[in-house]
Amino acid sequence: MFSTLDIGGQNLARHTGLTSANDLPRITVDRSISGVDLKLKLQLYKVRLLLLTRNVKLAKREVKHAMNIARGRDSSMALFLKAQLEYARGNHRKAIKLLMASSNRTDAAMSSMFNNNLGCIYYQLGKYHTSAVFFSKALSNCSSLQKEKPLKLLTFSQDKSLLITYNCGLQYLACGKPLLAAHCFQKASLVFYRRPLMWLRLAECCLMAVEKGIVKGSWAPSDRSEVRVSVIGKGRWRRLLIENGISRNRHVDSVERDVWALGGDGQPKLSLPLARQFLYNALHLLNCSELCNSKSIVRSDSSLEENESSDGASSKNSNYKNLPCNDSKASTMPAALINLNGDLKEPKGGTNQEGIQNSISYYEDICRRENQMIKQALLANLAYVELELENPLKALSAAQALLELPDCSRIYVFLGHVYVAEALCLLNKPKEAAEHLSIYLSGESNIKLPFGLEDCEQWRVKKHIDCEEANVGAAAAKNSSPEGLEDFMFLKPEEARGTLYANLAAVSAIQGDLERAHHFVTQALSLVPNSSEATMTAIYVDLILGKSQEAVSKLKHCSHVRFLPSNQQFNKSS
Amino acid sequence: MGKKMLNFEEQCKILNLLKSSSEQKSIEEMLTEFFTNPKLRHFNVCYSLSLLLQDKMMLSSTERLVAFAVLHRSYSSQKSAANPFISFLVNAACDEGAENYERAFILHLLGFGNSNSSKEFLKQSASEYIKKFDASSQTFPQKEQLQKQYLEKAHPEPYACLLKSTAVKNVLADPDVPPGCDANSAECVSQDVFDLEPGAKSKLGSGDRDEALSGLIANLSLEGLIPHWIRPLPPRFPVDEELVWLNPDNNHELQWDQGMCADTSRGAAVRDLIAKALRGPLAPNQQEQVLVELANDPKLVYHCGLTPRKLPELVESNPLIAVDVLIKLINSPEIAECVFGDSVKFCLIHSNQHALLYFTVLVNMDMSLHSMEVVNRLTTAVELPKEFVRTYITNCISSCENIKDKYMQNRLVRLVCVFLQSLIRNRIIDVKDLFIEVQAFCIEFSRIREAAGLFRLLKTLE
Repeated sequence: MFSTLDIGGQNLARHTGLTSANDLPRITVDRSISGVDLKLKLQLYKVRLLLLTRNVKLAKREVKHAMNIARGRDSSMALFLKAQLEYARGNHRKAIKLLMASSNRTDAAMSSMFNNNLGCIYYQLGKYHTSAVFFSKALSNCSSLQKEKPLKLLTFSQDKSLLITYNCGLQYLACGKPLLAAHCFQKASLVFYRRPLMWLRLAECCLMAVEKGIVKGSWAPSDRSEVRVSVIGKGRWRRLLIENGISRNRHVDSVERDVWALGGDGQPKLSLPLARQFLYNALHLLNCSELCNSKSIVRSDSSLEENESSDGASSKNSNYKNLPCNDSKASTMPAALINLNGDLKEPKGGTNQEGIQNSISYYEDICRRENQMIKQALLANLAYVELELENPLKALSAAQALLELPDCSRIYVFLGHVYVAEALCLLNKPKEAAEHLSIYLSGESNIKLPFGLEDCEQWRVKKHIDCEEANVGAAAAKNSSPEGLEDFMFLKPEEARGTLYANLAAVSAIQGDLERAHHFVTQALSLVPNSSEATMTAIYVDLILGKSQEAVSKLKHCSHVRFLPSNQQFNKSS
Repeated sequence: MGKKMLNFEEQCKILNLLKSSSEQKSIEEMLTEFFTNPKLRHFNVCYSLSLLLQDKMMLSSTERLVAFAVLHRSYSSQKSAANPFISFLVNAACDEGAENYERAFILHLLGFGNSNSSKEFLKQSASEYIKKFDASSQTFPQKEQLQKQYLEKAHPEPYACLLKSTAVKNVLADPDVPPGCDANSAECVSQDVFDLEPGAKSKLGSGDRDEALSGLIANLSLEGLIPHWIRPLPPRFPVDEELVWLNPDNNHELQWDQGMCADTSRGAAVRDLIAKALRGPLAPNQQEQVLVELANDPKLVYHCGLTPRKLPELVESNPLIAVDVLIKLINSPEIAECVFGDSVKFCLIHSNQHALLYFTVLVNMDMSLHSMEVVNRLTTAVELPKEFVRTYITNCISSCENIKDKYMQNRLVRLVCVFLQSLIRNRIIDVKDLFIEVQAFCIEFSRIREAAGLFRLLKTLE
């Protein structure tokens, strides 16, 4: 920090010496930088650093300081940072107010940032369509900026359109538009290609597209959640033919074998094999960054020591050498900072330094935890995709790797067990499969909740209530209904319990223990009455037990059954 | 949507076969006709027929006989145990609920008991067989006996997915009849099914039966009903801090270094002078020019043509210029371009690092009046790293000890003593660090006045 300052000073001094005619205007600007401006700039950088390291508490203090310095000056930057702070604290209303207060919105660059940030806020409020409007405004601001003549270097160096595009991708994903989302992520990959999370998002696009039946060769959504029954014949001869509709692994032999198959518009066609590719990319990046991190931690520690004992000329260089591989956001920061510390010989503002150091180690912790979460998600998705692609062996190894992760969240543990069990079952090991599910058994035949509501907390859209407006907010939260229905994307704990019952029933049925199967599937149907899979298993058990009447009545009472007239079927087949 | 078991041709074939069963054609004739097509997929055909046979009501009695015959004939070229439907046939033959003529027919097919008349019974039509059937003449063996005879040598099951091999038939009867009427009752069934006269269709439902039959045949699939597994889709990863918030950047514009590359001519004079300075002392006005130019352009020091290796020559010839250059190197930061991997980054390296190279050369060069003068001046002008000063002193002492020429030695020792006294007085070195070494030096050269003086100075500091 200080060396930069030195340079600034020197440059100024030097420039006065060799002023040429066309340099004049700029230099007068340079000269006008007063001590206070410099102080403000530094203070703002500090706030940015703290916000980046998510040290909200310290940032709050420092931003106040910055606002004091900024009094009477153009404070839009300070206002943006303050808005970001309130946004990070979940005070969305206040964040909007602060953004509105920032002047200078005529400038296209500023208004694109303004719109983007509003988009972020509305996204967090669960108002995805509103946020979409702001993101697209922000993008059009950017493109108008690019059309400005003459072209300026800053237009390129400060172009934010790819970052906004990434936000757009997230918003499309939240609105359930996987194709548009994938398009955005693909564009943004120019910037984000080293982020495991981006590849996970792309894989999610694939899964969503497949789930929604948008992808060629996959089932329409109704096909997956419905039991299809052909009604054949009339009167006394009427027969019901249950289609094995949900044995759904049909995408395998579709055209998508060529993973990078491009569509007409030059976009990769979303498919399960492509999802698998994306997941492998993400895992690879994650493992790389983990490796680099562990190395760099060792190295930077040792370099710190060296700095104390000697002048550490060599150790600093080694620190720099780490930079290229430390791409994950976890590690670049500390490496750079330690370097700074090395240069600063005088103990300058000891408490401050400590605060920053603390917030960095705190941030590193956050990143480590985040990466762990990402890894869980990646492995769970991978196991799912492999199951869908009928590779039980690969699915098994992914799911087992998931279960071996330390501090795995209970939701992913649940998924891990379910996937492992299914893979084992497909590999003709029903007994081992049953063991995996039986972990959740308490007593002979009772299943515990695999996870609690508190485990789902992260997935719920946070309807933050502004601290200051707690009373108003509570009322508003009740009234406001989320715009999209995609808000919560996973089973509720009870449904997860039902899933376990249904799968235990399936395993028991396969093992021939029909009594148990019957018990479990009855439980399952009481918890997840709409599950077509559970219904099918129940019907299966009834049929094996010879209770065809009951099976027929179950079919007729299940809301997810579609009865198709037979002649339609006949026409289709011929 | 599911894969259909039968193609259109096979469907027609089966339907025709079943229809013709009520005619007066012999069973043998029908079978031969049925198997004329070599493309017929035996397993698929037999499997569909077995599914139809499992439905007790669907096929008429003659149709059933023909269907059984097909099941048997499809695999008759092999051993009975190799017939995938053998257990189905055996079970049907032992089904107490089935008609006796049907069971007897299957036993005939299997060639049970009377092997001699095996093929004779196929010469008649199915309806003839039923008519002529005499229940009293037939004995029915135990299931175990049949199983022993036909299944004994059954092959071990080939690998199959357990989940799929446990499938059950996925066709359910769902009779749509007025309440009170039992759809499965014998009278109801007999009314239609035993209506053997061709053409005389009963009003109630036989047309429906044909439709149901063809519908079934068209829609049967190889996959049965299996227990279903719920495979929850993993949740989408929560969006937490992922959205990118944008803040205005500081408009740091690039600053061109006007001095870079552009001023070759300006530096040239200094470079020439420095090159000259390496060879011998410069004239006072030349020396002055170098110092002024260096003062005017802080960057010039980096491209004045001096390298660490050339430093000793400069020190010997022009110590004052050497001091000036070194001071400039220490005090000004250098922007070095460092290339890391594939990315070029600009970083700041404090000039200390650059200057260190020069110092290393300086302390290791041969001892001389000039080098000592340079070091002495440097110590007063800037803060030198302690270990360099220490190393330099050690070098000085050892050169004094090693020199052979007595006169030169005296001179050098006196110089070193003055140098050390100056360092100590200016508090540039801590005497404690070097106390023993310097004391030993003083004692060794105690004959020299300056050494004695230094010794006294040390004593006062003790």
